[in-house]
Amino acid sequence: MNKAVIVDDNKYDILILEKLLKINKITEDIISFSTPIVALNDIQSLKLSREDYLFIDIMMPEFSGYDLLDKLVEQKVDLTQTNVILVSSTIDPRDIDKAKNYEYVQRLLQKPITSKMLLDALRT
Amino acid sequence: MINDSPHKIKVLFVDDEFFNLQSFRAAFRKYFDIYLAQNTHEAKSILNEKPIEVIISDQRMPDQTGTDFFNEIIKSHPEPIRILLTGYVDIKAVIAAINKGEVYRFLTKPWNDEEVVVTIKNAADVYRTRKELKNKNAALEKAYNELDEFVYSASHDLRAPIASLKGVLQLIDIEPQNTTEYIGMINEIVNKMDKYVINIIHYYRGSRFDKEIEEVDISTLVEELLDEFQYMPEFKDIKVNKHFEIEKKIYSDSIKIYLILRNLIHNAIKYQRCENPQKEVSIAIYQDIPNGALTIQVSDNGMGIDSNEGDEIFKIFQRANNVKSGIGLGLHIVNECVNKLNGQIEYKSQENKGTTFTITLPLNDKKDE
Repeated sequence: MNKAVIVDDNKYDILILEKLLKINKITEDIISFSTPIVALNDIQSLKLSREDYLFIDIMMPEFSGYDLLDKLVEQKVDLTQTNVILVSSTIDPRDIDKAKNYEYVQRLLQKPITSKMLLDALRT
Repeated sequence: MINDSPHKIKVLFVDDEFFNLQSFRAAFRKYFDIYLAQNTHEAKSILNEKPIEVIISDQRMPDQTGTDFFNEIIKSHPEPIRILLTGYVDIKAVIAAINKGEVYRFLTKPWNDEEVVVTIKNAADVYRTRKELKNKNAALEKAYNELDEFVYSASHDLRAPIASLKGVLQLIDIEPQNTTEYIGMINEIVNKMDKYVINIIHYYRGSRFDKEIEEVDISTLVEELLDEFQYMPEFKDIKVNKHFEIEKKIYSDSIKIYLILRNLIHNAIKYQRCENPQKEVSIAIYQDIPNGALTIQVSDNGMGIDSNEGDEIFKIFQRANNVKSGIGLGLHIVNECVNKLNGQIEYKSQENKGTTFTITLPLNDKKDE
């Protein structure tokens, strides 16, 4: 079964995404991190595959979601081999445009995430 | 008028004729602070060392003409106002230099003492007005950058909880049987937002308003704050020490004092180490009447601040600690309030040992400063 990893400093948003993943029968196997520091440490060992999803929030206090991606690449985690989806409550074009520099980022979902958005994003 | 200011205008006079240098000094030393240079090489080294406000240079000098000299220094020393001293024969060069903006005025040789004094004073007026404008521009730019950063940060910090609220409302729709649980979450999110908005109001009151001097009952302020903070989850099992040495009534801006105390005490409680069995927060307030100073000291034996942070911690939206949530306004508000009260702020901190903030404020008499 495929698994989903969530990195988000907002505990409510983690809970919302977890519920949506379960309710929509996408996966029950969810690993959530409320800080990118711990995520950075652990993601490598999770061996994410093409079947799995990595959801990363952009604005986090310790460092941003983009920084987390950069640091994971430095650690030689091959992000092209999994499904990377950014999530953010930002509506600032500066933050959104930045995602274009990351080829392996498949989607940027704007919070609040809905069932429809999630299903659309994961179908393609 | 700017010319009435106590400090004398700093004037650099450049002329290759020794006699001219001497007579210039003799004629104007009582009005101005005069520096002499016999060639442009000497003039440049004086410019590098002294904050010269007005330069008067002879046009015809063996090493370099006055206009060439001005042209050369325009990049390295753009601020001093330049006046050319010349005979009528050089009038074309003078007009060209004035048109290029290198020269403010020209004086003719032999000079008229009164005209020289008036010209220098006018030039210094221009110098000082430009400088003032530059300072004001820098202050405006700072305010503008802060505002820009504020809007950027606030747009996220206010939008994020709204997005969470919408998300939770959606879950209620999908799972109405769990409504009670979700309403609890909505409550928490709304409370957080409320705190954020209150902080913004505090920031506004702390930094945007001028001070208002009134009697401040500082010990009651501390008690009220501690009453309020007793419901913070971190507050339990913290020992609070209070030490007040207040002999006479304190006159200051009570909102700013309140904001200083509120943020410092709040941080001292919030950034404790949970594994520490003897958590302590100390609040000491001393009135030093002979020196006209009020000292506020708030210390804790908590997490401490990374020693590399320096004054960075006082910047807006800068967070000294990433372990706990926060928006990076607290210490900025404290710093702005202390500045508005013409006080000073210092801190000492060691990681995992604790932090002490010491604030010294001038004591005001009953009214005004």
